[in-house]
Amino acid sequence: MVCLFMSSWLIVFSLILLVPSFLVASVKEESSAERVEVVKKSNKMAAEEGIQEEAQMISDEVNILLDQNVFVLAEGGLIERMLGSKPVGIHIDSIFYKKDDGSSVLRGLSDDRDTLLEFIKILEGKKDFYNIDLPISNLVKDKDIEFTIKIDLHDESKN
Amino acid sequence: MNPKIRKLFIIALSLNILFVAGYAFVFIQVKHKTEQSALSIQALEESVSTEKNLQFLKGLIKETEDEREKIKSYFVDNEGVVGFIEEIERLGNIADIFLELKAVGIEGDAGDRALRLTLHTSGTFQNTYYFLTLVEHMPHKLEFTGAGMARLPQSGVWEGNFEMSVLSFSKK
Repeated sequence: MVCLFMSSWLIVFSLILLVPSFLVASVKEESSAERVEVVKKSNKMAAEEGIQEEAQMISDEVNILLDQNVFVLAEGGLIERMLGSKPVGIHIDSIFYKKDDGSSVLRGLSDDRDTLLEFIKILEGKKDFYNIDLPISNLVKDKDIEFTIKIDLHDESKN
Repeated sequence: MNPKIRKLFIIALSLNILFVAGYAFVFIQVKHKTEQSALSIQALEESVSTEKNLQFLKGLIKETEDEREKIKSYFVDNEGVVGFIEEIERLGNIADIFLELKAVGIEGDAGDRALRLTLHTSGTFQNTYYFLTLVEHMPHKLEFTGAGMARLPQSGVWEGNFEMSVLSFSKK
């Protein structure tokens, strides 16, 4: 009996000791929740101002401007690489290029067969020209050869 | 057992049970509140970090106003399309070629839009090449997606048809 009463008092004493912890925990929980609300409100205001969207837009714009993977046609591009070092006896009549096809077609007239073969060799040595296609029929004549050369600009072997 | 002692025993036992229950309740409450405040502190740290980032971004956006204006000038927006076309025509005059704008339109969706132009040119090969070089050296990000150039047998004049995409076309 005495033990039971003593244990009751012990529990009450422990309970009293637990009260400060309870109060501290309550205050801490309340204040941190309030601070979170304040900071969240501030972040929400900043988000409403569109800061993140604006930063994202600037980043997208810079990425577009810095993109190096843009096709160049003239100076340093396709035409210069195709015709920059063509032999004297090659006369070009037309150039066609379509990005979607990834190929270019060159038509013209060669003074003789050797000049045409030399031109093909030069084109084959160019970087980014993957397949130079000259129909055999173009080589039937020995002089004043009308030719059509198809150049693949995409490396098909990588597909 | 004496009924009085029995009664006292029951009271003492009940009190014990009541106090233990009370202690357990308060203990669980303290534990719960401590966990909640730990979670709140974690959320607070994340929010503070986000706020710091936002403030940094805000500062950066303010600081880089001139640079951003410059970047914007490299982009063509809906209002700037006419000015851009006039600029292309001016380059055609500089290169001394006949230039005709065949079509102009906007392609792609809102996130990935591009201004598309179809041009027809007529002139010497050198001048047409010079025109293409001038266009490709414009500060805007653009590329020719299609090209067809052919020499007319009689006159030797080069006729050209070009499809062009202006990639730096404003999303707005």
